[in-house]
Parts: sequence; structure tokens; C-alpha cells
Amino acid sequence: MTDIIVGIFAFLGTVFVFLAAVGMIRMPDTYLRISVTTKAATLGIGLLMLAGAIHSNEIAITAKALAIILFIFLTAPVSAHLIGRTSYYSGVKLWKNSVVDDLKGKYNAHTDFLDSDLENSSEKSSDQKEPESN
Amino acid sequence: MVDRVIALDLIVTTGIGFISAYSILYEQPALLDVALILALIAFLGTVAFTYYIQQRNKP
Repeated sequence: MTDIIVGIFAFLGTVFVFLAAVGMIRMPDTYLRISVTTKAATLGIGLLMLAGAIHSNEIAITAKALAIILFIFLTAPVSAHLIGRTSYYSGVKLWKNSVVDDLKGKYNAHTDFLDSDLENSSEKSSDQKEPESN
Repeated sequence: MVDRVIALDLIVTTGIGFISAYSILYEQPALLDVALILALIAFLGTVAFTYYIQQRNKP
């Protein structure tokens, strides 16, 4: 019974990691690649580690596998956010069929200033760099 | 340039999956330590690469 559960989890994890690798090749844009790679690979590694945790009966190995799952679930969104932020700041273009760009016109590359105020973004010019009070 | 960092992240993550499957298949659970260290190094490498790419592109 345990072997069947381990086999199902390992198969699903392998399928998700394979889908992440396919999406890395097939996606047309850097940002879409970040999206598919982070989510699919994280779910695949989580399922594979869960299979390893179920397979071993010792509590030390199970705790180690769960620690790896927790660590990857904590660090994968952070690294994806860092890669996306860096690629937007260094001028990577979006795909030509992308619908919306929320940061269009809000980032000034010369002063390295990101205008994130929603209400005053139209009237405040982007090169005026005043420190916010809070 | 940024695509290579994403690809490196995916390669290391796939390596963690390989190590997990190997440790299940050959009954060697000590290899999970390697997977833990590899996950940590992958995160640190991604942070370092993004930091230096952003520093390079700064005018």
C-alpha cells in the first residue's frame, strides 16, 4: 500500500518537473518563463520529497524531507521575484502579445526611482525624487 | 542574460528531484543532506546573480 502511494506521488512530481522543463523551452518571454518554472518545479519537488518522506519509516528522514519542502516553498517565490525585478529593471522587453504592463512609465532608469504611488502617478513627474515621510 | 539565471535555477531544482528519486530507489536516505545543501546554494546563487546583473546595468 505504501509503495503505491509513493509511486503515485513520485510520478506526479516527475510530471510536474518535466512540464517545467518543457515550459522553459516553449514559453516566449522571460516573465512567462519565470512563472512556469517557479510554480511547476516547486510543486514537482514538493511531491517528490513527499514521496521520499512517506517511503522512509524513520522520523529523522521524514523531518529532513519536510524541512527541504519548507525551505523550497519559502525561497522559490523570493528568488522568482528577484529575477523578475532585475529583468524589468535591466530593460527586458515583454512579449508582443502581452496585455497589460502595470509598471509602464513608472520606472525611471536614470534615477533608479520606482514611482509606486497610485493616485499621484500621473501628475508627479518621474524624475523628481523626494523621500517619503513614512 | 536573465534567462540563463532562470535556467540555472531550474537545473539545480531538477537535480534536487534526481537526488530525491535516487534516494528512494536505492535506499540511501543520507543523500537528502546533499539535496538540502543544494537548495540553499541555489537560492544564494540566484540572489548573487541578480544582484550583480542589476549592478552591471546601473548607469
